[in-house]
Amino acid sequence: MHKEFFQGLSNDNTLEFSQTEWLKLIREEANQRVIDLPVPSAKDEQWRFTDLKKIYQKQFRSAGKHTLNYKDVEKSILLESGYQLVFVDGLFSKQFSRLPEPNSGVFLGGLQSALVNHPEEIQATLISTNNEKNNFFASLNTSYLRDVAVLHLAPDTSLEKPIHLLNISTGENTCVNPRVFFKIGAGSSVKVLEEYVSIGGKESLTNIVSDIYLGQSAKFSHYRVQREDVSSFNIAHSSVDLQKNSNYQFCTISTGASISRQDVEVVQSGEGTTCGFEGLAFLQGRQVCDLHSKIIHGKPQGTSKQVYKTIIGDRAKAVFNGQIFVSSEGHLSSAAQSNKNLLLTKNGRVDTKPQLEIYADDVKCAHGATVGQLNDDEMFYLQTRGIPKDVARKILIYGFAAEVIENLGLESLIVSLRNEILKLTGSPVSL
Amino acid sequence: METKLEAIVNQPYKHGFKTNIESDVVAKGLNEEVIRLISSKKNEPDWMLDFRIRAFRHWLTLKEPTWPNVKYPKIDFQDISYYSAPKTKKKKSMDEVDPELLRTFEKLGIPMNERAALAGVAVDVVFDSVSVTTTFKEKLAKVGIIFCSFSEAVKDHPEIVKKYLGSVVSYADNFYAALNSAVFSDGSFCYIPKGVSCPMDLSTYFRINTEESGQFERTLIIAEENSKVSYLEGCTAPQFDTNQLHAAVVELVAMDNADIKYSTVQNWYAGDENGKGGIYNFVTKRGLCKGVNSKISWTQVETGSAITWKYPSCVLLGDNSVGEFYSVALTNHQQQADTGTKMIHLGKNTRSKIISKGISAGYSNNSYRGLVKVGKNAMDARNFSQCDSMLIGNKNSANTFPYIQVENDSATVEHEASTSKIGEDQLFYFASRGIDTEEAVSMIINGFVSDVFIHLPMEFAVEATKLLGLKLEGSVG
Amino acid sequence: MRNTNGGNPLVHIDGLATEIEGREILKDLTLSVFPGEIHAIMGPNGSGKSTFAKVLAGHPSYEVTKGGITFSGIDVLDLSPEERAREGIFMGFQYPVEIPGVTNSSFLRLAFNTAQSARGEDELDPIEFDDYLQDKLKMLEISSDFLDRSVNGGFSGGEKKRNEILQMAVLEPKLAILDETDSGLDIDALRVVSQGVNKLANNDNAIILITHYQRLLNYIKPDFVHVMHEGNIVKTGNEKLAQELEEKGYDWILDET
Repeated sequence: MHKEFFQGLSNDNTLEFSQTEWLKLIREEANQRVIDLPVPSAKDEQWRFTDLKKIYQKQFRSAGKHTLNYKDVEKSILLESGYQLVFVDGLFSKQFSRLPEPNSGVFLGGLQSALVNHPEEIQATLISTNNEKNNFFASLNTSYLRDVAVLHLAPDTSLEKPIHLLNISTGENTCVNPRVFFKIGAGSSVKVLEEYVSIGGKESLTNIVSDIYLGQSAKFSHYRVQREDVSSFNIAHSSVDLQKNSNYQFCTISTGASISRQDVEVVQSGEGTTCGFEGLAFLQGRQVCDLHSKIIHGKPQGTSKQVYKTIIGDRAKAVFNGQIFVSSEGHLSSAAQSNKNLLLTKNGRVDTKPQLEIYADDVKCAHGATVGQLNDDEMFYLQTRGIPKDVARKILIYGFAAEVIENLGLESLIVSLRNEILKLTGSPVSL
Repeated sequence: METKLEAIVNQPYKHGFKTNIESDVVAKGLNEEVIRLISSKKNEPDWMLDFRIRAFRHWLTLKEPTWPNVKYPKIDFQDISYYSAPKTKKKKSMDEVDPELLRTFEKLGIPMNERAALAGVAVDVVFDSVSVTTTFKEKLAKVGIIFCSFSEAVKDHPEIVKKYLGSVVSYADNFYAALNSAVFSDGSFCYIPKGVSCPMDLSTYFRINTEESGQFERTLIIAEENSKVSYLEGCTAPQFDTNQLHAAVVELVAMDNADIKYSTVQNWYAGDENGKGGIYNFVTKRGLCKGVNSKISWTQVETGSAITWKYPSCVLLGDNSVGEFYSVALTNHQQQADTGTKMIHLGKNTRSKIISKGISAGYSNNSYRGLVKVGKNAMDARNFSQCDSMLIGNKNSANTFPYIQVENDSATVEHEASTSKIGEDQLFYFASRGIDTEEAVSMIINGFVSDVFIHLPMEFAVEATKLLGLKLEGSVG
Repeated sequence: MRNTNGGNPLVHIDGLATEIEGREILKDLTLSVFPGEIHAIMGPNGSGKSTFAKVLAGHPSYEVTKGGITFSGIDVLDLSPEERAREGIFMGFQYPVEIPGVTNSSFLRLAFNTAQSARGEDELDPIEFDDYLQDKLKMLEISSDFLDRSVNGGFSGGEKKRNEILQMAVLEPKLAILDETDSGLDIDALRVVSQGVNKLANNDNAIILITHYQRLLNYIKPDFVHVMHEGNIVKTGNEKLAQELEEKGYDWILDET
């Protein structure tokens, strides 16, 4: 049932180089699972509120050769980025990328060169995700894998300037399966903007799997921005592993795609780790945006702070399922989670399920969720300053989003998101 | 510090004795014949038997739910006796009731003698499968209130029972509701006519006595326009090494401007410290705010049962109706509780409030699970939820699973939750003021639950405080 | 006194009664304020002072059940809060709200330009507006880094109140109702805020101060002091009345009435 949607894809010759035996093997195994596993449906608790019928009704095909030139890509590149890693329709583009010198302690590139530079780690990570036997979309990703975006930072290597990983979708009705592997060595620090955009891409499915690993005392600021065409579909699955005293700051912004679904699992597997998790989804039309997050406090003295906001207009729907899990080893953990939903229209819809699961007693955990409209007192305040109601409304919507955006720490990203939100809200003022 | 705390929370169960009374017990097993037998033993009319049979046939098509956050061996539904009654006929006067029964309830602190009765509380007593007595019946009848056992209601007020039975919790609602609808034995029935404010609290006291039996009672409360009632429910069971199943259904209906307050103190046997024995308490409780401005308020203090799995809920259908849920759930040893509420907002301008306090000690597992749903037409619905957990010791867990579904943009829904432990700083502060650990813990816990206890009727608040005290008092090691 | 009692009142409140969620808050309240006057309204908690301010500014939650409000000769009851603001009514909030992501300067310019265009006057571009704003800042001794922060975001209590006065200075209202502007201020902040109000007061505008304490009136001299109780003005006097209240509390007045 429902398996026609990817039948048009080809998994022969999708790699542009001859593959090793192990890679061939895991891809074959993944392919078997794709055949065996049922597709996720509303009957699964994890998918209760996000109906994938629109995806299953389609017939996707593999992407062909793109026709972009640098001019098309340039305007999407983050101004202040030090290095850029560009993937077009899931394939690494050397032409559009700007990479560090070899042997600088920073490796950035696609699968082919990663297999030369860091073969064991690539093999280990692809196989470990491959072990997630029951995940249909992760298996689909491995089965039709074309390339991997790899960032490998040697220990004690710090980059001042951010790295921009730009994924461009150009095809119509295509299915691409981006794969991401970030390994931040002990004591290293870096900022990465991982972005998904469409340049000509329409009605396409982007199905991402990411593996992120932070060594001891590493610091990683990770921004994921999804602004694909509103006719497209974006499914992402990431696992993050935090070693002792590391600090992971994640921020996810979604304004694009018809259906977007993100599963993020952060495991604090060393003591004293820090996880910041912010997010914003701005939804219109019939967009559906679903974030499933799980933060596992597996070792003592971890902290996590999550703030996820959504703005829902028209007939859009926001889904949030946020789990904070403190294992019996997670003493002295501190976790705070907040989910705020601004429901602007009659036909909009919010399904939220923040969850605390606590198996250790010496912890401080709190969560909160709200669904509501603009605050009456704030509206009144603006009106008493002579600002008409409709304008006041736009300003306050913008202000709601701004709390996430203005803290991003990447100036040109802030500006471009600010402009995007301003355009969407029509607010006449900003910062 | 830990050992002190543990000593404090590890108190023996005080209601664990068994009454030696001859009982009429139907052989174990479940099939249509058993249902017909139960129905005939109760001399039920055909429509009642029909209802049971329909429910049973539906039940056969259902699978046991597995979504709650509780673990237990699979229940063999053929290994349960579905009917057990003390072999004494129901007597008109209290003096004729079997003295053994009277002593049992006196031991439990439930006087069945009206002169000695709890001040101003009418009691219906359910022993295993049947109601044994109802106090203050005549007095209540004078103002038009019907308060009797469910069986009597089926006989004496069939038109009301027929109209409302299954109207809030249909037999198709869930696995255990279907089972209850097929085999329920007795329970309480209460009808408050138009414009009457019930002059005393009504109460049902449930006691499971037989080892092999399950208890499947049904409670139905109807509050007509402009009426008001406060209803109390208490439960205990003797100590057995085996598990007994308790699968009750409670239905409440509130018409225009009616107000129902339903309070429960649940102290079923929880099993021993290794988790042996205890009641499986799988209950469906739901109130329908049918009329405008109606109000249903649930207050529960859950301290017993090996497994508690229940969600007293409100369907807010009438405009301006109000639903409330106040809960304290204390789990210890191997106890598991997955409890909470559902607030379904359908009418305009409906309001709901949820205050839940979970305390987990020992190896127990305590989960709050709640749903707040705002339907498309529920303009200006408001909800506020607050769920706090307290952990004592580090072998237990406290979980919070709120589901919030909103389909109306004029709704405001707020959920807050927190988890904390009794801090050493707190205990030290008390100690420095000369207060010992035991008293300090009890003060902290009392403070923690006070938001809920203030909603209990006076008599019950005293009982509930004592009960928490029972679980928490004792030698400080 | 700067009274010019000969003319028409700036605002005339006539037998005003209001309700919120079925509860009556103001009862048959009558008050006239002329240009150039400063009125202080005092009274115990819950007497209806803040409600009065909100009703003048047009808060939608309050329903006017009786009476009327005439401002500069026009009936304002049917006007929305923003229309009243453009007519020249300003309310200083007891708890100004925070608006993240919107800078004070762009907010002030938007408010100012909305008023300008309502008056049929030219809007100011950012540079012109900055000149205008700098004058106001200087007058109120407010540092200009105030402008780059988001509206009231992370402001202390004192800063928020100064920001309210800055907004008043920018909007140049005819009538300013300042709701407990003195609450939560230390003595220095109180002096700065009061000086600001005094600088803005002139013969063409009027100010209604709503306050709990006589303290504020040491800095801003009122022409009239009204005592409010249970939704009505029960006594009117001058500055001396405020001092008497400070010494004796409210009970003696309530007993008197």
